[in-house]
Amino acid sequence: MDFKSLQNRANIFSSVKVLVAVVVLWAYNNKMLSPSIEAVSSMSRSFVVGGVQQNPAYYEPLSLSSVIIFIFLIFKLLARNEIVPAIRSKNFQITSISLTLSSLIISILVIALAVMGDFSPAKGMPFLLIGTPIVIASLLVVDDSDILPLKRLSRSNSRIINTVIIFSVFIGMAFNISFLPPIISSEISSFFSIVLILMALFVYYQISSESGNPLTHDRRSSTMILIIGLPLIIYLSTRLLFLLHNPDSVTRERWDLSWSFMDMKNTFEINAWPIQPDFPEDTRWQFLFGAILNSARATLLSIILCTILGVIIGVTRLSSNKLASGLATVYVEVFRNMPLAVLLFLVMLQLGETLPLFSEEANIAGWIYYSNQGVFLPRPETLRIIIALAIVFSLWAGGRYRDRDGIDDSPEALTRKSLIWSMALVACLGILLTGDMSLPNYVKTNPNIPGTWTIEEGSAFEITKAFMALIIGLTLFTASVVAEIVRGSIQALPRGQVEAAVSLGLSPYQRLRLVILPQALRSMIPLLNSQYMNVWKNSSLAIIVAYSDIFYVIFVMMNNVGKLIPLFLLLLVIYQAGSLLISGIMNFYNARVTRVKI
Amino acid sequence: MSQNNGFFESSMRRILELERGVAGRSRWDLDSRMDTNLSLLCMALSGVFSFSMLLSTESSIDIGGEVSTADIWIYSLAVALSWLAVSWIILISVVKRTRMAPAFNGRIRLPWFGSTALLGIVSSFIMLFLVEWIFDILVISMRWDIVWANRVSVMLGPNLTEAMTQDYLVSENWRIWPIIFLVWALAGAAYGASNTSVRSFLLGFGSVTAVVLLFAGNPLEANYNIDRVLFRLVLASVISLACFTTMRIYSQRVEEYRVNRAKKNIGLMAVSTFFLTIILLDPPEFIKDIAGTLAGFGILEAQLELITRDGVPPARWGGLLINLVVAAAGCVLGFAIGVFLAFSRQSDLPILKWPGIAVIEIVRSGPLICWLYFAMYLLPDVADPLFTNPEDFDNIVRMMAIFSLFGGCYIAEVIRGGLQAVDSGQKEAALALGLSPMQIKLQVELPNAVRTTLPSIVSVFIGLWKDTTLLFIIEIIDFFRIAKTMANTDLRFLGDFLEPVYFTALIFWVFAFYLSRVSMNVERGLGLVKEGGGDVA
Repeated sequence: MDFKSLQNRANIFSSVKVLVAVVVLWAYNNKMLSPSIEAVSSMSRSFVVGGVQQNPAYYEPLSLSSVIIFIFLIFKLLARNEIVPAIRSKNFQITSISLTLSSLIISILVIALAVMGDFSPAKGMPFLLIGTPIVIASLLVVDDSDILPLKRLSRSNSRIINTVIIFSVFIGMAFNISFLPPIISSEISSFFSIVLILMALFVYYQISSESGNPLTHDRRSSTMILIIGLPLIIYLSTRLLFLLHNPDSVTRERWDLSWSFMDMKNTFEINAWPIQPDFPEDTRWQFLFGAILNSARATLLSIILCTILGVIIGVTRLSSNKLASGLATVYVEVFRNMPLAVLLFLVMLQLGETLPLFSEEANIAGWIYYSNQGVFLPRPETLRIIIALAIVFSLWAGGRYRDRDGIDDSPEALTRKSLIWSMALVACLGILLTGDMSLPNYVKTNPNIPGTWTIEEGSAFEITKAFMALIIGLTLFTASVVAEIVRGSIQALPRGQVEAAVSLGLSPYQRLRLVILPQALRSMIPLLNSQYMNVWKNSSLAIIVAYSDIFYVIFVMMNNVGKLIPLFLLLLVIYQAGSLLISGIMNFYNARVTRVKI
Repeated sequence: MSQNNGFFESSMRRILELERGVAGRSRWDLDSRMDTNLSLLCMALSGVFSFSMLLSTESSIDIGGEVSTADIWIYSLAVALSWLAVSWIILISVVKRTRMAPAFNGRIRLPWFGSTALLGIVSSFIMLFLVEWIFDILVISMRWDIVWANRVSVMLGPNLTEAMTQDYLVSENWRIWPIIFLVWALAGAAYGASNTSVRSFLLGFGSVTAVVLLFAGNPLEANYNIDRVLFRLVLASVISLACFTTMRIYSQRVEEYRVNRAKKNIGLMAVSTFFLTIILLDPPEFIKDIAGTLAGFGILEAQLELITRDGVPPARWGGLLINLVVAAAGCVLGFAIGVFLAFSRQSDLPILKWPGIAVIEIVRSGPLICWLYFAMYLLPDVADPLFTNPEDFDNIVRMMAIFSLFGGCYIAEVIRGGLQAVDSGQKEAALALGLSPMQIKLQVELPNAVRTTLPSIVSVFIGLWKDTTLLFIIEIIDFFRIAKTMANTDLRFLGDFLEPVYFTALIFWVFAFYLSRVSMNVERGLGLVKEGGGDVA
């Protein structure tokens, strides 16, 4: 096969490609443009009876035209931004932003025409509003072409002439739409599709002829993307506008962009801690806030537990004891490849199966009641909890202060530390357990029937089964990933570090505590960051165990009120804010840990 | 005698090694005779103890005849074996490891057998607990009939099962079989082209085939024609083996570039299998027309006649089929979307860059479950005018769309990392060769980026596969939903709600675990393994 026939084959192949592309573009343009034309014509149709607008989808021509054209202008600026380079350059000339200016002038003229000219909603308005983006795009096409700008004129003059010619042709067509041949007037979407395809073919020809410098090439590529994306942009903007004023009452509820319903009283009860919203009185905002706290405490507890468990298992995987490391490997492989939804459901079912039935009244000395409905724990006084926490915190801070120049781990210091800590813990326990502690107050309503007992409300501290299941499931799952992160980070340490620690005579525990973990922490934190964000997002699966988290509460509100879009936006914003908060904290910690360079 | 002696010594050496592995070093490391004797003593003692445990466990189980004697013996044997391990580890720790160690800052000396031995003892107790629990689930406390009875339903969904078992409906299950044949053949060919050793392939393939045949061939509660299914499965295995052999011989005979081309073709065929599945399950009108025309010419009339019939619309799919199809859509279409978004986010052109960033960041800001709700209730509002018949855009299709978008955004971030790591020399070389920007992107940058990020991409795929279980929340009859409601569908199995969920966990786990092993092998094959590095996703 000689070179020439190869080239022929390539030519045939590329022309087939172009043909296929034209067919696909034709279908795509028509698919996107014809519903947009319908939407525009139904939004611009005014139908006033007795001073009342009967068409709920109706928009004033001013707002309709300015919104559609404004959205398109943003994309035009993305495709060809003349303003930023013009401002940056030292000698600012008005001609350098002439394209932007001309498209702005066209837009303003079109908006003015749409308001004042009496265009018919069936054909004139759609032709005008959907034609304008195409006209502006065609200005970009012509501007970068090698052929059309008249050679003798300067660039800015040719721009002005092009703009005037194209725009006057367009306006002429828009005004006389009903006199044009029916191929244009009754098939607007097909006409625009053909125009767009011709523009795309022209730009494709320009790009493939490689006649410009790289800058021109980039501009042409941007124009090409704009031409291809234009029908989609128009479709989405007109469709969203249409939905926001939808005539169908159910859809209008869904797309009603106002949050006033959140100020009204909530219609269902949730179980929240520490702030329990008052059921018939409080507004939806207060319930949502309670739900956010619910999610936050579940996430926080899971993060703490999964870090502890993950570090233990990750270190155990590297243990020299084969049985222990094998068990850790089994743990990681089992839970890492388990779908979290199934795991949560399984944990909940298994808890219900394993814990004693409610009617058995299982308890430990009347202090702890446990059943498959939940666990009741005694609750110490709030003041005593604060005192105990203060003692622990001050001991910790004192220890940090003492160790500010390096950790003292001589045998004497270790003995002293363990003595102080054990004494403090005993003291804390004493403080917590004495005084006016609220024990679960057992109430039996009917002594003859098993199961008719409750714990008096407000007397104990209740941990619900849903919370337990959520925490256990999230912790088991995330700990397996954390374990892999810990293992990877430890294995990435240079072997010399461990050898140096061994030759210094450190015990295995000291090696881990003083040499390995502090260094592994550096590579661990960015990975842990993304895992913690995953915990936050995965806490939305609480709906499986019927725990009242953000998603559950918003989901029930969606079902009650039917305002889907505002609630959905709230959901996204809350989850994004939580993720940003977590990643902010972790980045701060990361900056602290990596302050010392090694 | 001498050979016997040698065997004894070598097995003794192995046992001593095992002891060191689970309990640390012995006191009598240098005195091998004493060491051996003590080992034998410990083994004998723990053997006696575990035998007594075997008898006591066997006699302690009493569930009133619901459990067969064989099951009780299996359970007791498993428990006794783990007791053997526990007692053995405790004995060797106490007998061979204990020495006087300084305690309390060296003031006094107490007997202590070392932290490794302690870890061994603790782990052995954990193992004992796990074995007791697992075997209790497997053979004692749970009744697995419910899973056997719902085998087909869990795979294909209630609609297809109903069509299969009821006379007044036409069973369309034949549409599944060509796909199964194709997938098995492709799997065989792919392994044939890879550098997996024949032995390990046969081992894995044999065990998978055995498990599948046992699962399909158990006559317990079967509601389908077992012989026919078994015959087809065996046929699929034979085809797969034949493909493996052909491909292995081919790849050993020809040059490497042709093997690579064959691998690429297998990949393309795997991708097109996804589209073929959808076309075969629910043929579009034009496919039906083509089949009808061809049948008019008298080629393969009977087969083509089947295709001209109305297919199964996605609304009637169910079970594992939905999970597989949705996950495959997430992987195949998601990969395409991911590549596009990654390049657009990396691009210098603002019109590609900013929309790319917006889409990726908005989609990644919410959990998947939010987006499933969006697809369920809001996407139809946005997209309905695009469909002449809005019923074409039903739940499953929307789920496929949203899974591809969601997966695409995560894959885009992974690939973007790979694109940033592509050596600039590669791009310059491609530019110097005169490749066009598109060629540079698709033929130089993309393969480089995908090569380095393949493990992370596979872990996104695994995540998508696991996330298909969330479909149950939005009323789609997927595997998990069927498993959840299985116990309520038949009075005989009332209350057996745990077994199907355990079964679901097992099935999803097996697929995810297999994928993770494949990813690990690929990683090793590409020479990407670094010690450590942690989990990327």
